[in-house]
Order: sequence, then structure tokens, then C-alpha cells
Amino acid sequence: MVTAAPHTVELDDYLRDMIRAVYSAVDTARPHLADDPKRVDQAIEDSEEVLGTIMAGKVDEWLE
Amino acid sequence: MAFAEKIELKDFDKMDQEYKDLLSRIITIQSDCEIGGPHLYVEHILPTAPTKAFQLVVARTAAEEIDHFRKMARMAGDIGTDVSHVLRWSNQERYVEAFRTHITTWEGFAVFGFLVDRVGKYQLDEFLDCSYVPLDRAVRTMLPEEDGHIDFGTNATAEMALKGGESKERAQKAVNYWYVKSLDMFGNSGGYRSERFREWGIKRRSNAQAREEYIAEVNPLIAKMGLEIPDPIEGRLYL
Repeated sequence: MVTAAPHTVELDDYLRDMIRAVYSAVDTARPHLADDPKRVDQAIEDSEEVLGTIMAGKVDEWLE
Repeated sequence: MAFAEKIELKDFDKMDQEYKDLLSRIITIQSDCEIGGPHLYVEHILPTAPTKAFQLVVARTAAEEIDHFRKMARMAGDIGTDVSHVLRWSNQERYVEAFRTHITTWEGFAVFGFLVDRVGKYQLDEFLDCSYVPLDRAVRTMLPEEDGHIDFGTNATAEMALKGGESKERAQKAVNYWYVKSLDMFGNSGGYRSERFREWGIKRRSNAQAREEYIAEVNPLIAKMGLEIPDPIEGRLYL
């Protein structure tokens, strides 16, 4: 059996959690586009923060 | 006669070194393309999309593409290939030239979905029923999301074209930019590696064949929007 690359599972788990956070923010906000702009703004802000963290790509810090 | 066996992770170590190298290479490049998309548009388009609903679409789209990266990265890691370096890469370091830029306009984001995500679907389609079963399984979960990105981009581009005037001009400019990039994404028509991928059952079509099928699909869509089909040769890097 081939040996997996280091941190394969840890990176997978980390990204899965981050992706779920964005899905959750977006899916929670969508039904409130017309009636709760603050909630939508918060979801967009949260998504920007999570996606910004992933875009920064500081893998070593994520897996500490 | 192309390789017709089906390979699971447990069989990977027994495979010929050429197969291992080709599979590792293609999963690495696919990983880079999946994370390359969000790197093009999250920074500029998420904060500036025309409506809050569209901002949520951009966030969801980026998260889905990152999830595609995650699946590819896991598959690469499982066969001993670490692709985490592409998370740190700047856009200028990407394997595929189309991703070495930034999208700064809404029409750019829309046309990217219309044309480039459609190439992404062609690339994923290549792996359906391929010899490496985990790859086949993964792309089947990714394709419906890619269809969603393509539909959004196609509809948004069509709406901009339908408005006419400056809106249509902006859509045409974005189509002109991304059309040749899209055609280049299929790679060289006569590449040696393209033939080896098919020999090992990793891909189904040659680069040239996939590009021709893409052109046959996308040109009528551009024409139906009332936009001009760009020159398929001018500005191309790979023929």
C-alpha cells in the first residue's frame, strides 16, 4: 500500500470545516435577502473572512 | 489497445511508474485549477458583486471550487503526492496560463463561469469511467456543482448581452478575452502526454478532440446571445 503524503487527513479535515462554514453562512442568509439585511451582511462578512484565510494559504499555521 | 483495468487505491503501488507519474501529474494540475478559480475572483468580486444575492453566489461558488480542490488534494495525498503548495502559490505561478491573472469586473466573473468553468467540466468529464476509480467517483460528485457555475455564468452573460449598449459591449470584451484562454486550456493538439493519458485509460479524448467538441458547444451559445464569436486562433498559445 502506498504511503500517504504528510498531513493529508489533517488538511482535508481543516478545509472541510472551512468550506462548511461558508456553506452554512450562505445557506442561512439566502432566505433573508429581502427581510434581514443585517443577517445577510454578516454572512457575507463571515464568508469573506473564511475565504480570505484559505486564499492566504498559510498551511503550516492551519495544521499547527 | 488502451489499458482497460480498474484501479483502486490499494492497487496503485503495483502500477507501472508511468501510470503513477501521469496520475500524480494530472491530479496535481486539476487541484491547481480548482483553487486557481477562487484566487481569480474572491478578492475583487466578492466585495463588489452588483447585489447581495450575487455576493452570496460568489461566496458559495468559491467554497464549492475549494471543496473540489479538497477532494483532489485528498486523492493526491492518498497516493503520496502533496499538493498543498498550490494553496500558497500566487496566480502567476499557476500551471495553466488562464489562471495567471485577476478578475476585477462582474462581466469577467460571469463570462469566466460561462466559458472557463465549461472547460473545467470538459476536464472533469475526461475522468468519467477512467481507470483510476477514486478519480471517477470524485468527479461524479463535482460535476453537478460545475454545471451550476456554468449555468449561472451563461445566464448572467446572456442577460448582459440582451441589455445591449454598454452592457453588451462589456460582455463582448470579456468573451473576447476568455474565449482564447478557454481554447488554450485544452493544451497542445499533438502532445505526447495526451496520447499516454489515453493509453492508460486516464483520459478518453485527445486535447484536439475535446477542444473541437467544446467549440461546437460554445460557439452557438455565443451566437445565440447576439455576441460575436472571437477569432479562435488570434492570441492562442497552444494550437
